[in-house]
Amino acid sequence: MKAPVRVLNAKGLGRFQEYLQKLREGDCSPPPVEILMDTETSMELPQTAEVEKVDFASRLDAGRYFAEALKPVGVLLSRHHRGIWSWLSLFYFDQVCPLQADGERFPGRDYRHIPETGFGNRHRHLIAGAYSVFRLHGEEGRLLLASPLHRENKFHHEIAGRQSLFTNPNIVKALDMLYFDRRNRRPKRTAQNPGVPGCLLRFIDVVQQLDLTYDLHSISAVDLVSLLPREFKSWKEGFVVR
Amino acid sequence: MKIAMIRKLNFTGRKKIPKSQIAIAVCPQEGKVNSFTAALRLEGLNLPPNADVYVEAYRGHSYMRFAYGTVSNPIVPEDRSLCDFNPGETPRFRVKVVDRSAGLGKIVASADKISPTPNRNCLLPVEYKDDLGDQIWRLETEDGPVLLLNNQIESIRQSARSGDSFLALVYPEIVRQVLTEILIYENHSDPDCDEEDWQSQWLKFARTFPGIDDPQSCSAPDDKKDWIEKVVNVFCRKWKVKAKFAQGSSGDAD
Repeated sequence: MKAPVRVLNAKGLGRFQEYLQKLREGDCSPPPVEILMDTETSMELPQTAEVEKVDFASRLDAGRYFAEALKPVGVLLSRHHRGIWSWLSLFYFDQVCPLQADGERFPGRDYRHIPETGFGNRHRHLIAGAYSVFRLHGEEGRLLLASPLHRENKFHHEIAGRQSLFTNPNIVKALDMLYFDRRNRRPKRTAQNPGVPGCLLRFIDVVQQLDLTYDLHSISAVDLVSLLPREFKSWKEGFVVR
Repeated sequence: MKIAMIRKLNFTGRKKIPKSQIAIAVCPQEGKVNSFTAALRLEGLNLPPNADVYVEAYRGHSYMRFAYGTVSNPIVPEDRSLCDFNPGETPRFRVKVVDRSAGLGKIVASADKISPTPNRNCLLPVEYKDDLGDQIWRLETEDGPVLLLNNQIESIRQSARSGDSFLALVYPEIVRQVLTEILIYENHSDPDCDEEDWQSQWLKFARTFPGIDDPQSCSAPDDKKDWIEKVVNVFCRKWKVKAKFAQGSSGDAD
């Protein structure tokens, strides 16, 4: 069944925030879904977008879904940024904050459900972050979105927080070339482990240095990978690079 | 004791385009997407004539790139609309000169963190945002400090421009947050490091206050915090913040 996307107003945001705090204190109440449609706590959008209760297999699935579903309200997403994404987080709360076997939920920090406005944590909203990656990179953002909806993986955490890396499609493609296991359709093991030669953090260090010398926006992902030093050799296997 | 001056080191031979040779302005258009104009003077830098020139606009997760021809044959792109940026959001700009004569594009000259006029030489640009929720104001320091004000509050523009209470309650904290970002998080203490970077400009501004030493004399974190508090105190004294607050409060009571 489809539901029209709405915006949580200040009262609705306050109720949602209180609920998240109660969860952190061990409360086991169900999410306050009544505030989603109540006119005291939410308001409708001038344009209509509809969503339905889909089970997302991953953040990639979610990003793909919302990129399509939210097209009618695209221009409103910035004006009502906080209210819309919070509404969606509550609508899909069982997926962004699943119920554990013991009846508890672990929401984590508020910004995972209610977006912060500053750049620092804005990308960490679980649904808005997935949408943002898919909108910018499409299916090539799969490495950053290779996790369940309730979890942000390290690729997303390290890349989405760095403007110069995140906004460069060639860098995201290069990451995919190096660290996505195509056979098993998931990130390669140990790629996210610090200290491993050629790991993600090393990639970031090296690329940020290369960014001082090369115009990385005009260098293809293949050429970028070819510039990486020897420690990345094992990650490059399977690709023809110079 | 001589304090080592922190200088920015450039091992790549990349030239810096003086910001005085770049003029960028954002053209707000009521009800439409903003666009921008850029006037670039690249003479005197001895750049390869066939090197490509780009102007990049960026803010948060938004990024757009515009081709401006070559050094010897500059062109102005017809479409300069900043359609990928949220309305009311002012991007920063970057100019890059890229030489492809040896294969991969190498940056031979650049200028970064350019604020468009009229914010160009402004220490604290102000932007009005619709999505601050219940917050009145917030300071962003990602690419230099920007004061965000809640556009949903009817009187916010008037209060920010001329409200005594606003000045008294907000600006000292802004000074504290900006200097903390510079001295403690970024560990940048040289006001003369780069006259064009915002960190140096803020440190220079603080150094103009009476009785304030060079921040490079502070090495330990506690010394830096003390220096910051001293600057905030002098700021409050200089701008008669207590009196302004009292004035603003009595105005509210009336």
